[in-house]
Amino acid sequence: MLLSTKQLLLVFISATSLLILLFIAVTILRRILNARRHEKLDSLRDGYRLRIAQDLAAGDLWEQADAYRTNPGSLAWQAVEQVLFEQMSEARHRPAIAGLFRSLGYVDHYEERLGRRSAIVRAAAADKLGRMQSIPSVPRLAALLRLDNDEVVSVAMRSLARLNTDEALEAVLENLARLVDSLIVSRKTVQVVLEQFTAASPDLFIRYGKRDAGSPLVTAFLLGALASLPQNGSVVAFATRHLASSDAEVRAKALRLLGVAGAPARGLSVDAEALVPLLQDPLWFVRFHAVRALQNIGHAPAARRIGELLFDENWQVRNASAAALTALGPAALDVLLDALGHDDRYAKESICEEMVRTHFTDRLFAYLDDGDAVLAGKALTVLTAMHRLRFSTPLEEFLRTGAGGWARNEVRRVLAREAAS
Amino acid sequence: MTRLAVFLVLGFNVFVGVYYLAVNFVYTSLLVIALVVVVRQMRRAKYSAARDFSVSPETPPITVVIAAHNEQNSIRRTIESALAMDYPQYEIIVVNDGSGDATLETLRNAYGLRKIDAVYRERLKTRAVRGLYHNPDIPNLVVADKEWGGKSDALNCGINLSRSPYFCSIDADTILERDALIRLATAVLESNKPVMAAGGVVRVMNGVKLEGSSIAELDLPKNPLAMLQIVEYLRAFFFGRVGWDSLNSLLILSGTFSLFNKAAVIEVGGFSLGTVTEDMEIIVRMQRHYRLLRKPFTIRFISDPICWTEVPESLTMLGRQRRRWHMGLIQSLLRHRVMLGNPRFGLLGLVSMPFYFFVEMLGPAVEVAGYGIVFASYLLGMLSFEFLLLFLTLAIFYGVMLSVLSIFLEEVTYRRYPKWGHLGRLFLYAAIENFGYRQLNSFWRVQAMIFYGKGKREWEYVQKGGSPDPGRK
Repeated sequence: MLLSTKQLLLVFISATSLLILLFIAVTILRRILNARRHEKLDSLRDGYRLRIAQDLAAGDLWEQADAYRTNPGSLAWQAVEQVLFEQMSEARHRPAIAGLFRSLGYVDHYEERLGRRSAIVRAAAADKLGRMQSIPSVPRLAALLRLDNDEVVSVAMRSLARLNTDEALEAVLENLARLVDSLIVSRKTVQVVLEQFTAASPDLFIRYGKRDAGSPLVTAFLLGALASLPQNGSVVAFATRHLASSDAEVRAKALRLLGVAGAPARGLSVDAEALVPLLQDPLWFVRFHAVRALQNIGHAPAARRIGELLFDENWQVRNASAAALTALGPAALDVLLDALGHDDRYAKESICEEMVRTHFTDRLFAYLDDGDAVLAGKALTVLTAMHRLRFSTPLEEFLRTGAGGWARNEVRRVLAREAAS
Repeated sequence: MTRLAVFLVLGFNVFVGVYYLAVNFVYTSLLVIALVVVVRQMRRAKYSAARDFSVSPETPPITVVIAAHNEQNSIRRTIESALAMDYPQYEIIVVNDGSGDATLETLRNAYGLRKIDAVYRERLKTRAVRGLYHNPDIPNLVVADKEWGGKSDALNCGINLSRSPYFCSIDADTILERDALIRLATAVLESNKPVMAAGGVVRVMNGVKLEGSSIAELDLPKNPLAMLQIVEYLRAFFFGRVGWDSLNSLLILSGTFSLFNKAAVIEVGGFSLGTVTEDMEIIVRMQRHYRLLRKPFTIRFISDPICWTEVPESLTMLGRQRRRWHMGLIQSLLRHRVMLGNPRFGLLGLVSMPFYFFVEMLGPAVEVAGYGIVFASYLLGMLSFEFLLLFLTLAIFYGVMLSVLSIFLEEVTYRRYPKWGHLGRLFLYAAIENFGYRQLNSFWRVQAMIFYGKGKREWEYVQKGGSPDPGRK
């Protein structure tokens, strides 16, 4: 029999009221249970924290392992796990605690969970194994990289990176081409993961770079990762070879790597002249990285070629060029002077902006008092041009606080002359 | 004539009933989706990549843009919280939008800022910039002083000055949790599809005890209006945003705390100067633009990065805010009405736009008219008192249920209100808001519709929290 409208409304009202009461009851009950649980957990953690710290200090954590053996999933199990993770923040305890995790059954427990259906359970287990520094779990984690679930794959990659061994790196590199081609993980995830393999040998990256030479994206990732590792001659050779790549991203990453490797502090020999032709690359970000690399290397002979990019169609390249010239110092003064005499106001303002931003103006003031008349003359011309373009604040500041009587006089004269005109 | 009137009144009653059922069906669906999504999100947070990204040089730099107009009382607190964030590389650009108070002086004195010579390049057209201020000892802070042009104009100025591929807009009376930015950015960086914008959760700061720029103790406000808004914010962020996000059909992210792909915003012309709610308009415009281009992209709402902001504590100010919000909703929906019911825009055109148009935009009018007609029907003897009472009871109970459920979700996820007293007060206000507050909101929204019809579309100043009104534009 059909319900009347009134009855229907009553049913809805009853159902809604029941749901309201149910949610309130569940919220209160949950809070009570959680409060008890957390109280107990806090107390267990305090106890274990003290005991574990004492055992670690005494060096007999391993002998006392049985005292920390608990039922998987219990509160005591969670308390021990959390305290051991806390202790792992100190590098010297890591090997002992990693062994203890295995001995207490944590590793087996989480390895078993890697096979569950739920992606969240699998990912959480993979994360725990990485944090536990469970190096024997590498094959199990590597197996996850063959899945199509982006969440599980990303976490497994990050866990392998935490283990930071050649075997873990090989597992990632073996699967890299498939993962990046099928867009299972994001580019940033791959970059962040690869740069975390700080203990890995650069030769391993190079070997896989040669193997996966057909995939420019993989090559670009490897070049990117090598930039954050200690470089050697073979890394420089690997990157130099890729300057001629047909893929722009590979060229850009190779330039970036060479810029890092060729920095004076690294002491590696980089053929800077090989980078110069890339200042005319058709793609802006390659030109950008070429400028940055030459700046890092400090390749003054390229100053004039870099100066040509002050009028580039891309603003990032123009700014990078201005910044590079200010970094190159006296060698770039002539180029800067030429550019400041150009009609392109945008380029001139960019130069001034970079000179202020990089505090190049301080060097210009120093050149005034340097004793080299030619250098001082050029510096004065640059400062005058800056003042004409309304970048006067550094001059005024120098007048107020700067040292060097002759230099201050010169600056005062520039400001007065321009004010009069 | 009488028979026609009776027919019309009865017809409207049936319409209200059907409308009510349809709306609640959508709300219930969003509610179920939110329950599943939020709980899963919380479990995922345990193995978030945020920590890896927070120390990686590969994490792209972000510009935090703070548009400030007469914010002398709160701006320092906001900047301090932004400066304390866990993010590898970021710059903060404060745009002093023609303040009539001492906002600029406060900043100059507090951070030892000096005017710098820098070029302001207008990729997006804005009102004139009077000066840029900087202190070399705080290299990631820049203050731009410009002529008043409104929030959109100030944000566009911030975009012009930004040197990062992403920017995050935050209000000048907002405090970010330390990991809020990296959590928001992580969702963007881990996505395989380009993320054009992403928004986080906004919480009510009134009542919260602060120590400098950080939260010392979470407490609830004494002001009843602020309490009602806490319940309202919980419901809005848990249900609406989470639900629409999972359908990839978001039409709004809060301008209080959102991250944008700078190039994507520039491509659509930046923030629009012709609307009173720039945050909704930019999202709708981006959805329209990029869906027409048929490029893969997404706009996300992420439920774990949290920021705290002040809300109005007086009826006058709250009324102004709600009228503005509703007027902005009308402006955005009408401006982009081509998307309504249009299958070219997928679920966004077929579900989200119609929901916003018929429920969010027109709903208050139906509700207010419904109250009038239902009571008139009762007075004319066309509706029994019993039926009237049952209908009103159901409407109120359903509203209470939605609010109670959002408090339940808060309890199982973030638990930012830990005391028993907090829980009791939240439940109490979940019930109270259905007796007057919700109706008042509908009234303000109908007012906004009337104002819009009359062509009155200016931004009404809203004073938040208890800070004094410094005489704003």
